[in-house]
Amino acid sequence: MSAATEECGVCVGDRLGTTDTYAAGEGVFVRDGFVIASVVGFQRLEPSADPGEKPTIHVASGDTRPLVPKPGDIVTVKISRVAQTAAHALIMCVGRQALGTEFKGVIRQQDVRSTEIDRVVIYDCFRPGDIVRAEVVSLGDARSYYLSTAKNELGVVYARSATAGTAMVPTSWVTMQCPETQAVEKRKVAKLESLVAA
Amino acid sequence: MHLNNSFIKKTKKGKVVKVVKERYLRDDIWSGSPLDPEADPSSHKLSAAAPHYLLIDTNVALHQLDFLEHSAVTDVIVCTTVLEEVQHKNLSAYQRLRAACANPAKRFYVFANEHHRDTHVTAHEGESPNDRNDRALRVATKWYCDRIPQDKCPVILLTNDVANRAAAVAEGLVALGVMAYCRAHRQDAKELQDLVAAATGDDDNDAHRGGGGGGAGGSGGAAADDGDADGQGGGGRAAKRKKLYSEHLPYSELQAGIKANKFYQGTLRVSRFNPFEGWVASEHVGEDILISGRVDMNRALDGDVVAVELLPEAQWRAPNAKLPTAVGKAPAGEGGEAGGEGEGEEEEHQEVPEVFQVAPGEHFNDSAGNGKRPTGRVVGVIKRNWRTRGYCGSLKPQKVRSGGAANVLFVPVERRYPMIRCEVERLAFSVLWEVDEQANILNTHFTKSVIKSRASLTYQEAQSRIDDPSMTDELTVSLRTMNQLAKIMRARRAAAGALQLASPEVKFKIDTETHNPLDVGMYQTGVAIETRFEPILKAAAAAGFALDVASSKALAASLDGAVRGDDPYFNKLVRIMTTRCMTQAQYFGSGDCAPSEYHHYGLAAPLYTHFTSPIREALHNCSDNLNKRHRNAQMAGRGSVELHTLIFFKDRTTVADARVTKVKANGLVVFVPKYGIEGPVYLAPKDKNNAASSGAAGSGSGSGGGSGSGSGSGSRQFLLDEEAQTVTAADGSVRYAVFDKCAVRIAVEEGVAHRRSLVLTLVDRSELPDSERVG
Amino acid sequence: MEFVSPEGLRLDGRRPRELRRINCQLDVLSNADGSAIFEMGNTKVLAAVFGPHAVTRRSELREEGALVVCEYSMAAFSTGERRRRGKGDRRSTELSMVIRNTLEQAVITELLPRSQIDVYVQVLQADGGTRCAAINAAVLALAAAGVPLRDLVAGCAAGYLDGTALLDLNYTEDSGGGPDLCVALAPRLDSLYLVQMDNRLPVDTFQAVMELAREGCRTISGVMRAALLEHTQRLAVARGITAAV
Repeated sequence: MSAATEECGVCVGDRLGTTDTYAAGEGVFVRDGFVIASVVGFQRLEPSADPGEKPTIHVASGDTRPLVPKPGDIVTVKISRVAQTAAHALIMCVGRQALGTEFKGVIRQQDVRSTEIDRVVIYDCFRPGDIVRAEVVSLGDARSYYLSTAKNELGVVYARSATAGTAMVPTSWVTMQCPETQAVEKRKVAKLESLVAA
Repeated sequence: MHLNNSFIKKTKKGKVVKVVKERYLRDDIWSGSPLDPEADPSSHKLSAAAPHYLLIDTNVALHQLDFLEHSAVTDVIVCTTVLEEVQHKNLSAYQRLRAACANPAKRFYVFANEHHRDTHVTAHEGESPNDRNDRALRVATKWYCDRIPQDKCPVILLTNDVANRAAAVAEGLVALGVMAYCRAHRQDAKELQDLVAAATGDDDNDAHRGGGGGGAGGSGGAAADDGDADGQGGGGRAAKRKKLYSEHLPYSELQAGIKANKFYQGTLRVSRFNPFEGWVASEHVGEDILISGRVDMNRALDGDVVAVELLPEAQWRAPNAKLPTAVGKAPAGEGGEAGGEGEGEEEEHQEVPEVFQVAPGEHFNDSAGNGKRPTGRVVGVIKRNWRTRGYCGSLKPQKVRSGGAANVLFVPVERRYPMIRCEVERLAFSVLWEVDEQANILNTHFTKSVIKSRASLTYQEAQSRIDDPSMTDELTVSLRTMNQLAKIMRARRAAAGALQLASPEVKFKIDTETHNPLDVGMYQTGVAIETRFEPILKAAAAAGFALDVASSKALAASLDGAVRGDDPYFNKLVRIMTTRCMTQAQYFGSGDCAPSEYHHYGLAAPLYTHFTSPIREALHNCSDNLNKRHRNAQMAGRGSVELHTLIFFKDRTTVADARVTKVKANGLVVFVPKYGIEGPVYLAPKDKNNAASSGAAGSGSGSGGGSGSGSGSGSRQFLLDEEAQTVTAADGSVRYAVFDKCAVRIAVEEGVAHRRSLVLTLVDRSELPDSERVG
Repeated sequence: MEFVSPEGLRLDGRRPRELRRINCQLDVLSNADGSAIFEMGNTKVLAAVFGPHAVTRRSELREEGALVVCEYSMAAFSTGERRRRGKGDRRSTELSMVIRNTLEQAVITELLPRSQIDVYVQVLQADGGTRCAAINAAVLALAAAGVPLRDLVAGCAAGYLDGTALLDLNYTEDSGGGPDLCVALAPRLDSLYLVQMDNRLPVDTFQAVMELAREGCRTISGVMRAALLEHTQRLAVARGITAAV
């Protein structure tokens, strides 16, 4: 990313090059062998890490590009309701980008963790108001995206204690503790160290 | 450049809506002239060789289309301002203008000034659309001036709007009225002047200011000014429409003016040869007042009693020296007679644009010193002479016997004689004369009276009573007595110099035998107003005999002495012409007119007396009625003579003997004794193509209903000598004098609107068969 | 009425193949995701884009792509005569459909599944050619919102009056009763997204008018492109300055 070269502005429909020389990145589409910009913005060339590969061409508008969550995206959600079989959430961010509007997501019982999935108690994993990192599993049903926290780095990143309302600190991958009351609450906690390391 | 025009308008439903329209101002509109280096070559429509470019305004486009369509008018710039306005006002004019623009030979260039960045103007606050358009045209003219080398090809703004012209001149532009333009720049195509419509009075003004000495149309110009002022008051676009004639003043104003000696009242006598020239007798001025030109005549017709305002002496004119010529669709060169020098005469062009044009002549300037007459203009009509126009009655053509003897076809509609009521006592005012047997008046007594008529007799009845010796009743005896007295008085008058006169149309001979005492109508005396005799005096002097008009007796004597050995008809001709100089006898009640107007030259008696029998109870009505009847009879007589003359000559072209009665600069007036026809003859040979134009019918209709074409090529110029009453060809080959013998070919030609008229053409006298020679 | 003078000038001073003055403003509304005002002569259209967001009516949800919802209306003050104009009348409904169809083809909807894009188009001033101006404004607003588009689609009208093909009819010319062709073109892809015509035209004349309209679309698209690029550039500069501070 740091090696990307900023270039002149391009407009929708501009032909940026052929597929023979470039790989299509964000904000572009391919048609008839051409890489064509689909948004207005600046063209950015990302050299491929592998010398044999073609460089990727991106077009990014100055500010946000409109996003909808798609499978595989890491999203940040806020739990809105917790039920017996699933926790309902509102998707706030996709990756690092905040969404203008909220999309609904649902974390089903079987998607909370990768092990012992049939013994998951949703109430012990999420509480309404928790901020959770999740991955979009699929577009889900008509109502909401299906989300998953079945990875170490996924799960609750921020939660307030039920009694004092202060932010709790994770103590293990299933518990968090309130710094004031020392009360321990159960959560599916994300292991953020791995993310930081990456 | 972009601009929004916004205006507010009302919809059909009555809602008020603001309408905003875009207008794009361009910089790729070219001047269309090769002289402009910036102009795109594809736009070149105007000629590089043109002496000047014309930029016309809306009124020129609307009213001077005939002028614009003439082939000599080329290289004209038509602004879209003008086009849009013309389109709004007159669609047919717009189409004609467009056709002219589309014609490549005309080289009319449409300059889209409203869409040009430099020439588009926005209306100022409070500026009328009219003024804005005028300004737009000036801006366009300026634009052209800046672009085209003015020394090479000046751009002339052609407008008849005085204000616009003044503004243009103030901006350093060249602006001219159409007429002024024709005069100043188009001497090469004089016929253009004929095409200039007179509807725009500004030109008159222009001619005055520019020409200085003109004066002829002074009143016309003033009238136009008035019209202008009125129109401006209205504020509308109609302001530009000029009034051709000034308004007749209301009766009260006329009366006041006459009382104040500002106006003069009199009967208008229109010239026989020029419908736009006439005379009004006035004893105040001492001689007849000349009314010259259509504008000055101000819609008055022959016989109308009019109020006349005398023009300042500087504007006095001489009567026209030329026969009027018709303005047809004359081909170029036809109008060669247009001398162009006579400013005053040229005014006539504008006054008589449609049918008549009084040919301008050099003569005017020549005679300016001596030929001037008191000239006036008609300010109001006091009494219309309605009857002369719709002859009251109908003319029905009847079969004419081969001899051409004409029946009088006139049937008067009205037969209202004043009724004599007999055996009824009535109040009257009477003059009682006591006379001796020699008809010397012994005693005169004016008195109020009660009268009782004994009998009511027609002339025939009275005459038969007088003639019948068996009748010896009191009535008949008194009739005989009166007859005796009348005879004596007539003899006395004859001795005093009553004239024996002749008139070609109606044989009118004062003959003692046929008059009886009851024929008391026409006995007048008078002192001659000498000017009336001027034509005959001049002619007589030129012909070498003297007429003494000092008294009617002297005149009668000198008429008797006017004899020419070689022309037995000469004496009669002189008499006819003298008759012409007399005003018609008028019946009137005492008090109707000033005493000095009582005169009649032809009869000799120191006082005008009217023996009225008591039957004339309403003298006023009576005299009016008599006058009318007399005039109607004359008109009817002339009408039927004219009709039958036409019928007679319709299928035969005759060569006849003729006498010259009048010479004009471009023609003669000849009299044909055999047929009693008088009419104009043009000296120059007529154009063969132009045979449609017709000569004035003879027989004294005096209407001048048609006239011949112009005098043709410049090679045959004629010079008029007013004093000698001769007209001579410039090369000296031909010379005509008054009373000269000549021969004419008489033919009937069909003119405009199928009006047939008699055309006289001069032929060589050798063509005249001996049998046709008169005397 | 004479729509083209023999000198080849139209009533408002344009030549037959000339467009009216075009002006584009972007991001005129702060609470819309993208907005634009497109002016063409005296026709002025405001478009605002909201979204993509989750579909509001589930029944309309499309699994495979985004849903474009379009609402066209005319301001009461848009014409000379003030009139209450709802969005529900037939003309507005039809125009909404037309714009929506065009935009759905322009937007790469596959990239935005299960989402909805709201496009509100309001005519602020009407002087002919509102249909095309509405399309242009909507496309600009979509581009400003960063919605991926296949091409910078532009719409343009052309007509045939006085025996001449006229580009970009204004209201007077529109009411002239002649044939009136409305075209939306993706200039790079050279594909027509919309063709509508009132009245009838002979085929060869139609070809000419069509070609003229396409030419107009290309020109308009070029102007829109320039406006978008300039706007983006300005935004980038502004951001650069804030970053520096």
